[in-house]
Amino acid sequence: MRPRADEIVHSIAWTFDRHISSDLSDPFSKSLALSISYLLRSVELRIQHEGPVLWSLNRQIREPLAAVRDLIGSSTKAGNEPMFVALSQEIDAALNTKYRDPDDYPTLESVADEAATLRWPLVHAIEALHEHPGLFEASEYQQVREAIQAYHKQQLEAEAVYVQIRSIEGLDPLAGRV
Amino acid sequence: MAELNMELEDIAAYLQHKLDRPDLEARVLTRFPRGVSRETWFVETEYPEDGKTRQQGYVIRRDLPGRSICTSSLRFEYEIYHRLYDTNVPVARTLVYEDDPDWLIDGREFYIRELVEGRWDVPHFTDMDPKYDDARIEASKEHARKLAAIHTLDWSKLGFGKLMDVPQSPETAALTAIDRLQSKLKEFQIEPIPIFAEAVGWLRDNAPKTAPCISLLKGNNGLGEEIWHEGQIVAMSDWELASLGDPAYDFAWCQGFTGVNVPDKWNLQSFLDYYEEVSGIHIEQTSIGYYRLIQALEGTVFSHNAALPIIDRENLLARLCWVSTEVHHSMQSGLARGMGII
Repeated sequence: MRPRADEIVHSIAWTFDRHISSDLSDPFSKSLALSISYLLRSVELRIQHEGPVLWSLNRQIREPLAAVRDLIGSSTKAGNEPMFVALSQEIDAALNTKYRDPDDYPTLESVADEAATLRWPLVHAIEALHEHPGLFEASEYQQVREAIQAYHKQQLEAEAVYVQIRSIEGLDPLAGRV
Repeated sequence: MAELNMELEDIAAYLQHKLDRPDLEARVLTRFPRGVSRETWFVETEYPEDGKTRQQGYVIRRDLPGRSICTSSLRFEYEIYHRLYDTNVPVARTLVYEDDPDWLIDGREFYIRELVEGRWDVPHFTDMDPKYDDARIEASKEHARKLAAIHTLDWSKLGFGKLMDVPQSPETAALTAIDRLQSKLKEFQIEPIPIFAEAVGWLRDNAPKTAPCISLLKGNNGLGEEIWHEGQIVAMSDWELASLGDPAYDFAWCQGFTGVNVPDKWNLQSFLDYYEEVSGIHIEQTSIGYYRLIQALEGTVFSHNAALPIIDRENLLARLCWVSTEVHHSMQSGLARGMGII
């Protein structure tokens, strides 16, 4: 049914800025109105982009996770460390979880849950690898670290599309304060 | 869910009781429109004294409804002001920290301090007309003097060691800051933040091996954080991010003054040289660059905490959504940029 949800939010933001926000005189209300203006624009972009971005990031994170698991598997020393045994199991569990039936529409909630489930073992991997670099062959270790850092870049740049909204035309610069 | 309001008659009754001035009149109550960490209210009062009518303003601080999103408690903030009063660091005088259930307004603890007359901005500071260059430099020097006053305080004698984590040595100051932030995040973390984990490792590996001393640190400081009157800082405000550590930390946080650049006359190094002249403390620019990442780490923790009141439906103020999304992402991006990842 048109307009879509993102089109409605766009309309709400337009209406709010022109017919409500402009009539506010109380400083606290005006400050909150600015926050609301930003957030409406962010929500519009999140409706459009968040699902596909999370879907894509959930595919991308599997590469560094698998690389960590393989790195652990290639090291006899790491393989005998309980921390790394547990980490390998955590990664396998996250990678092998069935997040939805293949015929089910991937709801935003399900892709967000999948993202969290996949990112926790990445956090634990970063911590464990930082603590015990000596358990691994140097070049293999470095390759995995670079794969993880590549994922950080992918995640932050992808999320920026719907989170960093200050440059949107029509809004006054926030100047760092609300 | 508690509302945001504070009623004039409530605060009037409280001040009449606390100051033992039944003839005190509270005239105007306004809320500071900005800020996300706590509520700040201003009340104008007047009362007869020695045959005259005395006017006095007060500032009331309290946490947001539901829970605080600050990484420090309201009591911590109060204690800083309380202990600094009567030192050579200018701060507003505190009157009371109120936690008696019979006197809480809206069920929330609060503290009151005297309002110091002045302004938050420095006139013409952001006007790049060269005729204001000297004024910009003088304001920077004044701020350097006040930072020097903070950093050379005997914090141990004032009991700050009981209030804050104390680094074992100046050389471990950075690690103490990282430990504090890691520990704080664990208290409430609700979703994984991979770049935070990455940054913790990087910051531990790249921590400065030396530091000039362990000082009381203000955290948030600079333009918009202090109160000015006729070219002097008459009250340093916003102490919620205070800690003990390397003085370089405060230069990482410093708003406005570290960026003053007048060709052939003044720049960041001039600022640091002047600070060293008045404090005796040498600060390396590389340390400031490092502590800007600690600042981003702190911001990541604080902004993530802002999500909880929304998710738990304790406080649905929309501004918290902005802090926990755009600000949170900005902090994470700052960490990634600082490490060369983006």
